Amino acid sequence: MDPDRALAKRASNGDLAAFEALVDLHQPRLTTMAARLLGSHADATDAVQETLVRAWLALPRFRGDAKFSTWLTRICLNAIHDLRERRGQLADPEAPEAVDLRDGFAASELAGELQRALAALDPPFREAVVLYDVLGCSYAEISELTDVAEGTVKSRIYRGRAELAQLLAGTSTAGRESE
Amino acid sequence: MTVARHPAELELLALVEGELSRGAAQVVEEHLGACAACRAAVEAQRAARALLRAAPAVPPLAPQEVQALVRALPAHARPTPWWRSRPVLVGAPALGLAVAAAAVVISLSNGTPESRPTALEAAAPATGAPSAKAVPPAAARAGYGVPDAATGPGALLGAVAGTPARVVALLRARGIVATARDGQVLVREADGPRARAALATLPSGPVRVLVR
Ligand SMILES: [Zn+2]
Repeated sequence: MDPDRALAKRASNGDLAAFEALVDLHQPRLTTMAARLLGSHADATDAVQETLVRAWLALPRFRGDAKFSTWLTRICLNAIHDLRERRGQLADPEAPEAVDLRDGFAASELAGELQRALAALDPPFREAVVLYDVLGCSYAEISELTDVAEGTVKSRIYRGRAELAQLLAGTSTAGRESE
Repeated sequence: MTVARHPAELELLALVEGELSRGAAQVVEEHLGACAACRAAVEAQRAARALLRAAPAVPPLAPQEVQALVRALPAHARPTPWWRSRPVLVGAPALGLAVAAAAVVISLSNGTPESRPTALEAAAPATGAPSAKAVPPAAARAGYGVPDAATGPGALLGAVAGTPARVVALLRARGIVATARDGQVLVREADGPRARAALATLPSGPVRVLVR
């Protein structure tokens, strides 16, 4: 059962307070997801704002086939894709944001080693590890969010992590050749 | 399983995730004991997994930022928002304002999807207010960023921490023309959506930023 169902229904009928309550509940995860996928807190905020506008416009058509949180996360992933396309590329993790507005977080964390390594992954692998390990989504949820089979999700998580570890170790790891 | 046959990637993943039965896990562990390559692969999985899971959460939007964003939503799926009807009410007694606001709240909670005006309908009768700029839903979806609903002259774009001068400097650093006046910050109408997005990343506070 979707815990957000009642609020989503009210929001789809134009209840702003219900929508605001839903946003309060879900925007922290969306912000973390967007920041890890985009590598910039400013871009993440843009993506989350765009998500809220799109979700609000689409809410009258939300029928509850998917969980609200999955539906919203999917909208956010689309907004992130569109933003990345508009930017032409990821924010350069080496370039600190012009003004660091969040207690040094953007500079210290989003410009950190882990974020650099994440930025170097192909987007499907980056998405898989962020959704699974950072956000704690299940294989099934990620499959639904990214439109690929669960087996593909698992393979992406495995390979994304393997490449991440390799990037962070700064070495070319030994493959798993037969002995 | 013998040393010669490496477990599949998904078996190693399942081992790391604790998804294997005890028997299956034992077989893979035995292989790991004899195969340095697979052992290194599993160690890499565990290292990356631990790092990702220890990554701190990114600071979310402040509740005031959420509130400002929700108030700035385009009038697509709900009745004429209060700020669109504000020009009519300017100069009205405080009681009148309160009654009007209450009426809007009531109509919001009773609105059905079918009875709601579209953005165009909602904006059109807004008494020729210069701020009532129609945002067709299609255009709102096609364009990236917050559609420019409620960014006409006088529209409140945000209220942030700091001093007016500092907020002006922050906005200018992002290429937005801003000026301080009477303790407030004014930006050009054309920069409204970008200014709103920039302000949403700032801590909330007393400095009001308005469309000039
Ligand atoms: Zn092996």
